[in-house]
Amino acid sequence: MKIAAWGILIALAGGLAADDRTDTTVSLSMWAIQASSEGRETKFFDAAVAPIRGSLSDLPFDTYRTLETRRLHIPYGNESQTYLTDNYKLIVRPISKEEDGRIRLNLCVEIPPKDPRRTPVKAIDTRLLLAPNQKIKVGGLQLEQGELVIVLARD
Amino acid sequence: MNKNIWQKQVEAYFDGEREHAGNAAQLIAERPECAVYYERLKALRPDANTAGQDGISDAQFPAFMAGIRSEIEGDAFSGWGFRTRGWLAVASVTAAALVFVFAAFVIFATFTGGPAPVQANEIEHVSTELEGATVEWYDDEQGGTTLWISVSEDDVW
Repeated sequence: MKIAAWGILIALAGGLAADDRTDTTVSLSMWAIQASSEGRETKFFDAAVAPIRGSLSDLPFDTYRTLETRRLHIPYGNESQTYLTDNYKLIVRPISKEEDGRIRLNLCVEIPPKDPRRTPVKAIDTRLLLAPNQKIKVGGLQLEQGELVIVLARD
Repeated sequence: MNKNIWQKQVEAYFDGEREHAGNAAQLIAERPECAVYYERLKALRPDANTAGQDGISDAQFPAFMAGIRSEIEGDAFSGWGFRTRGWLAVASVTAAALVFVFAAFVIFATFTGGPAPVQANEIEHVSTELEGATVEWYDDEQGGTTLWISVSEDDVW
């Protein structure tokens, strides 16, 4: 009887302790958006941008078109590389998951070097803590028309 | 208070009711507890014959108390009953201990070992290799974070 009771207790404790820190993969949704100003009276968002429309509302553009959208499932310590345009490459590398639920990750956007013999240039390189159900947005990267805006959201 | 079948059979045998006595004679011969019970009945009979008096005499008192004690203490002749009550007691104590430990675990996890409140995004480091470019960041109304690169007009990459 005592052994059974201890068994139940240990199983119970184990179940409670097994929170999502045991996850080994980070799931993110990524949007690469061409943001431009075309003189519209009403802002335009294409259909793929709809889920993150609110996150773009503070930007000074009136037109948002999706260049690339993707679901990323990246194991901690691994690196995901996504070509957003011919020039821009997004590199995401999750590092760890903190006790408060935030994910520490490296986010880098590379562009080809002026001199092809040199290594790619890091247009932006950041390490950040991404909270649950939150987004990170990167903007200001020039395109032929408008600017590139990247949105990463935790699933 | 419930009596075993063998007790009823021994009592019937004692009272001469052979049709209800079953194999009481054999039980008394083979099982010590049956024999003890039979002897006790024999000891009680003289006292029972004096029933009807207003009080209990000193000579009757030990047998009177023995009967009461026997019933209160849970029928000393019933081994199964004793084991059942013992098992239930252990089960109750174990269940109570389990509830207590679980509650203590939840309280401990909540106030000490539990996850800290979820915080907002936090930029730990940011840099750019673009010449003349700067990076700024701010938190928006939805709780998200925006990183914005400002590049000088004459910078081409």
